[in-house]
Amino acid sequence: MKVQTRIRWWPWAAVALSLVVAFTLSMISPRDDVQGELVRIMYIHVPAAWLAYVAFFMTFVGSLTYLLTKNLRWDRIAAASAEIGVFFTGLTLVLGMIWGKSTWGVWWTWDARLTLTAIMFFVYLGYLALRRTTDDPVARASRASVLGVLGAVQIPIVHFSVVWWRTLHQPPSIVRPDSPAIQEPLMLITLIVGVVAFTIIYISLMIKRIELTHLEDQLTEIEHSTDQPVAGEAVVVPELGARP
Amino acid sequence: MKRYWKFIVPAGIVVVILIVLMISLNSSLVYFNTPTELTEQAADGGRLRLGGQVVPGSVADTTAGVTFDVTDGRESVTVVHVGAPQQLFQEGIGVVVEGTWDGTSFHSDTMLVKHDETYTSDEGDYDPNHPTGDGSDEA
Amino acid sequence: MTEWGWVAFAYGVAYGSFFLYAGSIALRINRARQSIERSE
Repeated sequence: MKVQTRIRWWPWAAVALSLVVAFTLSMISPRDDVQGELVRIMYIHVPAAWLAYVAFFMTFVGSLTYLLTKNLRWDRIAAASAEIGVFFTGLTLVLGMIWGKSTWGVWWTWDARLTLTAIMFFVYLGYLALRRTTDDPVARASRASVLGVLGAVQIPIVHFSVVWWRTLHQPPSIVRPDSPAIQEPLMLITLIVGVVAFTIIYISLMIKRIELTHLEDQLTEIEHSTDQPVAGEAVVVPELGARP
Repeated sequence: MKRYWKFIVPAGIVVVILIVLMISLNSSLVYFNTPTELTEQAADGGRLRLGGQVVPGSVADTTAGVTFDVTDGRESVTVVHVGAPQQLFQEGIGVVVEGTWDGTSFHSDTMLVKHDETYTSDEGDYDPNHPTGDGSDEA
Repeated sequence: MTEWGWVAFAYGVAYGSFFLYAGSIALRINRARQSIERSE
């Protein structure tokens, strides 16, 4: 059968280019007076966290639009974005641990921001697991989109947890009640370029991940339309009594 | 029966999460006490966390560690810390220490450095000969 | 570990996981494509 999905190559080039530019700037930007070189971890930790928010927000948009229109295209967007969001959240947690160990002195502590981020990670892991409970695209979409909408409540809670409660994690430097707390222009530019680069990476990964979702759906359709059992000839009935 | 499934599964997950949230965060949403809160409460011998800025000029080395004052701008509390201070520990920086309060001083054995959200760079302080990008792609 | 050591560790983890995740998507796309083409 013919593959009905266009396979694009340029998103991979966009990912590579973004990483090169962001990396170069992260290495030439000045050291911080307090943190020294460790400040460079911020230029990947903060964008990763932001893109986790963006990804889960897209899951919310996709889920909500699916519930309103019942168009499976939106469910695919929600699913693709959730997987990428889980990736970015995991990356944020690991980079945060490295930054935490090197500045605070501990890999992990149960402060509000860290705990809530970990919970968000597991909720969306649950979303991905929920999608695996059925093969039926419609049933899968309606189950998942309920969680996709509910889960988004966490995004503002996670972000503002550092403002609302007293935490070890520092409050936001950019999106906060006052003006940005980064005075050094090159540091601010580096962070912004980092966020832009990660956004390009997110979009590129989304394009590829949605391609994959199309292919998987096509494959499921083929398996259901043929008369053969799903496992085909791969499964051989074990012969009883066929001992040497 | 099948119709209920798609609501029971996510609703169940959400309920479990909410329960976990309440239990785990009720006590720890506030990560540390301020010096003002500490001086207002009696010493009960329980372990708690104290956070604030290290008062400049108050840091002194001891045989077992370091002592310093921690302030929130209103009250300040003397901390007797046992163990090596963190790498970034210095006068004026934020710290969170863990230990017990005896009514007059705080005895800590665990120290975390709490850096704030501001980033500054004194370019004159920057050494251009400092190794940049060395082995940056290696983990 | 030195400051640069921590930075190298963090960037290694970040870039390494980008590579692995992108690779996993590319691999899954190829596998799905081959399965579809085989099924004619």
